[in-house]
Amino acid sequence: MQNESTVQRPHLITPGINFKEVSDIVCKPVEDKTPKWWFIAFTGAVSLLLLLLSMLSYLIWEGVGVWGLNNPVAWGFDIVNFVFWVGIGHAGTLISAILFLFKQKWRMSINRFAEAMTIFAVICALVFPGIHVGRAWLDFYLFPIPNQMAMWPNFRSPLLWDVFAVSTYFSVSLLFWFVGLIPDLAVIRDRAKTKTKKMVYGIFALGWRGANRHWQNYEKAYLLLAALATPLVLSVHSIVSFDFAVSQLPGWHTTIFPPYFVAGAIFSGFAMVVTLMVLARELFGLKDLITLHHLECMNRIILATGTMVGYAYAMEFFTAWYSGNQYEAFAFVNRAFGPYAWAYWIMISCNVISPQLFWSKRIRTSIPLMFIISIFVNIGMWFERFVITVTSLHADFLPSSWAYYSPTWVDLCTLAGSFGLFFTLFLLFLKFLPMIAISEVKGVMPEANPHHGEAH
Amino acid sequence: MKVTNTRLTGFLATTFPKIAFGIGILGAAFLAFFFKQDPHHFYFAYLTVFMIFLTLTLGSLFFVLIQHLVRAGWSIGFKRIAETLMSNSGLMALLFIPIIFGIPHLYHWSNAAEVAKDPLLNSKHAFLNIPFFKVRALFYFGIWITLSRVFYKKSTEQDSSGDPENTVKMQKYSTFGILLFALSITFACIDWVMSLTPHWYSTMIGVYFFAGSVVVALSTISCIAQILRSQGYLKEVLTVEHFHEIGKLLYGFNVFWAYIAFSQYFLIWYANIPEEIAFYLEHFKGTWNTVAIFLVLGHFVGPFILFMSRHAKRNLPFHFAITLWFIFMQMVDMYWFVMPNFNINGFHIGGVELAALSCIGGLYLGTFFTRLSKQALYPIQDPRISESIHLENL
Amino acid sequence: MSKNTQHNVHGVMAEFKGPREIMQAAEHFRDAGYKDFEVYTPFPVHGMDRAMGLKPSKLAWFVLCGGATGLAFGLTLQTWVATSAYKLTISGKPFFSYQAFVPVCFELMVLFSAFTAVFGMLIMNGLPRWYHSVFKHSTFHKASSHGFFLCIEARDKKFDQQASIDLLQGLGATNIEVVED
Repeated sequence: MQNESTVQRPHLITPGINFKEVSDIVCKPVEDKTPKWWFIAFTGAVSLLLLLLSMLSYLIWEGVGVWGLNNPVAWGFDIVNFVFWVGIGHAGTLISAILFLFKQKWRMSINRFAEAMTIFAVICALVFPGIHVGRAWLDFYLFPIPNQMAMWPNFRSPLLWDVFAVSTYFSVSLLFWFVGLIPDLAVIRDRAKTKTKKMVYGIFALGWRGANRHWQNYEKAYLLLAALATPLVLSVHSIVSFDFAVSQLPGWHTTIFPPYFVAGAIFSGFAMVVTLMVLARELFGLKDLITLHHLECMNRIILATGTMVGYAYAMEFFTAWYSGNQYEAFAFVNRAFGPYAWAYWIMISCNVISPQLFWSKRIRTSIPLMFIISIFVNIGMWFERFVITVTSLHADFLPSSWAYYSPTWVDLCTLAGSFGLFFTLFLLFLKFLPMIAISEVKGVMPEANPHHGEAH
Repeated sequence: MKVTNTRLTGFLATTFPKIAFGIGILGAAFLAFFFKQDPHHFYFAYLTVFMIFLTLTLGSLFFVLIQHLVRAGWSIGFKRIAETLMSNSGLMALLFIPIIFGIPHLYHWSNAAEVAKDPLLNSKHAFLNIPFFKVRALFYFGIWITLSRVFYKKSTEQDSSGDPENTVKMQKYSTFGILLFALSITFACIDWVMSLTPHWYSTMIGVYFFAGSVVVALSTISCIAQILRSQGYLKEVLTVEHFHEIGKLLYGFNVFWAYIAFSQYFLIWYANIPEEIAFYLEHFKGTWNTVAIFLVLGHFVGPFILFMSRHAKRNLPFHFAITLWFIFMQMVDMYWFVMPNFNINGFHIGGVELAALSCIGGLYLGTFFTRLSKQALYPIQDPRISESIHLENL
Repeated sequence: MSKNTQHNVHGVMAEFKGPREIMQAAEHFRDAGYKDFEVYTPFPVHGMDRAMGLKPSKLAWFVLCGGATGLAFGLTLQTWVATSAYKLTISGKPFFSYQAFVPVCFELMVLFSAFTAVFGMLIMNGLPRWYHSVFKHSTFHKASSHGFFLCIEARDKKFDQQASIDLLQGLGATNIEVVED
């Protein structure tokens, strides 16, 4: 019977903490004096953001010729970065919606954090389709807006589906995040010491007073949003994958793309959550609410989705050979052994091999190792999009037009700058909003059960 | 807590398996007759029915594996039914033997003259050849039989010992178990179904069959649980809450099936490449088109609307009807996937399909209920049984 | 209205120790025939709807209508644009390529449903509303964090100020206050 503990449910938060202490811990970063490291980090992030803005201005002034695009490779860093950021943005909704439907109570400690990350990542992603069209001031052509030229968008184009998918995803994620925030903003409002703070948080809390009749509708809305966001999160990255997969290009056109992109997106998103979470729980003293158990659960999901991605790579390779189609076969051999083999093997080692280390419980529960592996996964997933986009394009059906694509300094600075945008928003979030869903964490504490302590 | 009988006795344990075996043997006799008439037709019909029951068995295996992998507590009451279903993998291996004899009828890549003429088939010869095909089948069944035996044994042992160590072991095995499962189901579907049209290929095919398997397995598990409940069994471990849960999972996997089916069709339709689109052109020909539309409406649209609400999932008679419907739709799906290779111009249900269904179905159910009556109907000593009993959907 | 109710009294409010105590109190008031009483908790207490005798939320029906509208809108818009307003021949596909309309239809269905869910919830709850009588209770600032409050509202047919106070006292409540509008 010595192993009984292993089949028992672990504690979701450190036992012995009461409701008030949960509020105290979560509100502390919002209420305390801003730490010095925050200002240093914020300065760095804003400088990168300024870099992004100057790159965008230069691009719009000069035109897309400043990028490294060439004739066969018409999609370069712009699309790679777009898919990368949209992928990062999938973990939040997965945690808030899918894990909610599966009643994974450990999600309660991390969902707010991941949802915020989702929204900021989708904002970063939205920059790229906006600028890659070249004439960014005509972006409104993307939407079905009645105009004097009586022109309408082409609804049979995957790029238009993207517009609808990503903007729907952004709106729904934002609503979901905000709905979750309402009761927590009320907590900060009620604890606020200054009048201004009370007013500002009060306005955003919408006058929430925690009435049970309100909770009833609130919980229903939350459940429905989760049920809607679950197929949505699958659809968004599936539609992103359609951008590639509806074409006839070997390496792009393969039927497994939709679920494979979704698995990859969850994989990269979770890796980003782990990267940021490890830092945040250390810096803000959240170890009682975000325990090692939470991180271990996330690492398991990284392992699972990483293995799914590996399965998809393997299926692609097998089918490329099985198809007997010489173009298909060439595309994949060229990936692994052609001029971009370096990128391919970075992708394989970061995405397929490195998460396999999480089979070991020691590695899965070691903070430094999981931090390193999660960064590897982030890098690997960026390279996955690079490999898919560039290696398939650079050697197309016509050997005379083959060319090697290299990014310019503008490409690289734009990528770096997009991290600036992400971290600026993220640091503001850490400073001004509760980064753990207070009411949801309380709801899963054993003390929250009205029958807690009663004998069965 | 009212304790009812945890062992299956009476009609379902004694008479019913006999009847089922009787139907199975009768079906086999009819099949022998149809085989004499038209062996070609026989093999296709047999493969269709074989795939229906294979997907059911594999879906149940997946259910057991995934429940251990995620350490689920709610599903304990359904577990023994799933374990018994997956244990039919041995029976499925026996039932596979006729397909080995049918290779020349079913798979035209096995015809050396054809392969010599066709450069595409020639290039696939390293994979699609009879000896390798048999070796692979051996591997698949080896994996499935081993996995189901190990899990069935560990679980039934626990009934008497109550050792939580067994649960820990099963959780450990489920990790690589699921990897082996994923690879074996993928390649089994490539071998046995996708290679029926050897020019066609789809990287998604494994996922498609996987999704269908889980839908039919969840339906069958829920359906059998309700039958047992109506006989007075399992009442203390399975309440409307548990059926609500399995209903949600079933609903979700059905949407997943639709998502996979649509994505596969959609990408091939949009790109419109000859070697790929040929598959759908064949499967949309003549009355097959009607079957395809019926599949979309019956497998996805209808249940999507009717089974959406929480009341539908908690209304047990309706829930029961839906599970029967899903089992039927899996039959239609397999029929639509396999049979156009035989009846090119349209569907036609003849005696041979019904004979195959009664033969394999009879033997399958007979074995199932015999095995079910040998052990407790649910893992009575599972360490999470009390958590499962107290399940509530809020 | 009872005779001894002052015109401007919102109700009698009291604080309870925890989820268990407040749920028992709610059950007590429900069984005593009260309808207009409200419970204020920092998180949804499961089982409270039953304890208060509330009917299930109707939000799902509105969301279903919202989703159906989004679906119909998406299909109509795309069909109209592709087959009549702006005909384009794309990769030899028919103008009415319903397969290609699926993604946008789906997205609009989700978008409309989600908006209905959130704004429907806010409208049903009467929010945003920045002022409410219950905020006058002296310890109500705890309600969002760790306080559990129950308010017997004056509009209830059975409301009687003194009787309510006595009842609440009997149930072990603290900080019993009469809250005015």
